[in-house]
Amino acid sequence: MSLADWQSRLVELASRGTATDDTAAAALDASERGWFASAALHPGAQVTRDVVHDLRWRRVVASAPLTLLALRRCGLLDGARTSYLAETFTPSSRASAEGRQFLADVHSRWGRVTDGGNTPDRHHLATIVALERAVLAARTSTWTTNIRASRPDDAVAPGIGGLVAARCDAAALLRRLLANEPLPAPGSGHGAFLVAPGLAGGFREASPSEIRALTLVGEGCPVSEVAGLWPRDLIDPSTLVRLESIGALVRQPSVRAGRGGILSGSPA
Amino acid sequence: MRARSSVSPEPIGIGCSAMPSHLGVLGLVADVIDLVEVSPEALTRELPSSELSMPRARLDRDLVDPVLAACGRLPVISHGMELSIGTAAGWNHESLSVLDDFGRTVDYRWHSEHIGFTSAPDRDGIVRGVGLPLPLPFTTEVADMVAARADMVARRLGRTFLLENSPRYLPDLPSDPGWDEARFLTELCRRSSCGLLLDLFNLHANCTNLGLDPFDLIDRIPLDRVVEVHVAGGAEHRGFLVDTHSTAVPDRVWNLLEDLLRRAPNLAAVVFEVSDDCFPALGIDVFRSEIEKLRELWDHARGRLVGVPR
Repeated sequence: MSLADWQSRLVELASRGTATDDTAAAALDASERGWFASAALHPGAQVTRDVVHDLRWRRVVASAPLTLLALRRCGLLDGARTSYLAETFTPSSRASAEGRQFLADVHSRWGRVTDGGNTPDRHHLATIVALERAVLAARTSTWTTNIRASRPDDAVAPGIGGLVAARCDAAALLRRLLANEPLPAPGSGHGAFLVAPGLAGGFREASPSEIRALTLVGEGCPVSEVAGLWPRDLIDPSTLVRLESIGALVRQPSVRAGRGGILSGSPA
Repeated sequence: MRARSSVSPEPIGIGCSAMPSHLGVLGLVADVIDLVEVSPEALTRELPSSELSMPRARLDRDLVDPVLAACGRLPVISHGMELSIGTAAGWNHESLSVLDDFGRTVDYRWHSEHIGFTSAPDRDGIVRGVGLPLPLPFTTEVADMVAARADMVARRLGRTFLLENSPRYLPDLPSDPGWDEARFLTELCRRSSCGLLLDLFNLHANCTNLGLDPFDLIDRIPLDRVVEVHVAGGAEHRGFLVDTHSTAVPDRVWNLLEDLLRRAPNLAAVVFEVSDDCFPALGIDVFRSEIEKLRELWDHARGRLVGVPR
């Protein structure tokens, strides 16, 4: 067996507890098969796996705390943890990468409020997952790949350019998210979260001047002309420059500007 | 084969890891430390990546600048987790790009990485990671590969490059006849210009878990190549001692450090490691008392070695 094959199998053992690739197993000689069989039974294999899973979960905790609270409320936390760690490998030792992968996993399993269960709690969970995905996207500058249509049953719609639209009062939504209380009904109001690099906590309700500035940039107004609207303690030229480039994108037919600087649409 | 020569950095002293969530801590121990160890990968933002590759990242000045401000005038040394220097299919090139950027931003003294591999591609070429270094077989093949890569890193970064012994919980790794961890570290030094970062907690944990003698291992590695030492505390789990960077340094590790301070002539730094997310439970009082103990041991040893006070 080559060193590469040995490493691939050890990664599987350290993550899942078994080295189940039959093709790879066929490439082993008797002593190599014996080593993996012995290693799999040694308590150190379980400790290795526990350490791997503990490290990964600490990164999830650091990057998706609200989603974990919502999962606990729904009684889904233990199952989410077990299935996520058993069925995935870590994308990176960076917490944000682990968090994005975890949130994508949760979204694929429970991200739609129509999935059943306790509807208010599921709605709560779906909303929080959307918000934390937007926070991580803004933090990791991958938002340009996240342009997609929102669903009508979401209270929070993923946006781009560091804003997330709330189809309810944003301040009330934020209070209830943090208190883990039932959400305002979708459509009960309008608002926007500012999700921007450099924001303490990653997000907060967007101010009218920020919404105004982002709206103008989204409509094609040069950054230099809206800089005065941007709060001095939040000046982030790189964000504004990115938004300016979004402005060009928004003017394409497949993407449209919404109210309050919220940009939505489908990839060109 | 004779040992390759290695540049020995000037001694700096003692320090701690920069914890990005607790940068204020550096100010609370600035009067006791001589240096700060920074992990550049913790100061990056990711870029979009394909499913077949590891996430790409770039150094972010918004993250770097607060760390440098907290370091003040203290020298910086660099420590990485992501290079995966032992992955047979190829190391993490993005990690090297981050280090290139870090070197252009910070005049750090040296860089270190764990001996091991953190990821490997499956048979479809999809990279699968575990997020911490897994052990490597103690063989000539692996020593040749890692040593060659260590020299490449040192040349590329233009700085001294150190390799760190990693924790492991599995016994009887595949090995060439007569090879063990001490022989493997020795052979790495013979084959490359790299220095060693000896993590004394990892050494202590491996020996405790696998029934080995840490002093015997220290006796059999080239101590003149030990440039840096890590001390840390861990935790017990399923009867194993686990490297968690979460607690005070155990007495056994302090004993190993005292021994090493007497015997490693080119030791330039000792760093107390605490995980960012474990610091609140440890607390500033314990953290500072561990740093002060480290200060005392270092000063005592340096006074004895060179006859001058700090």
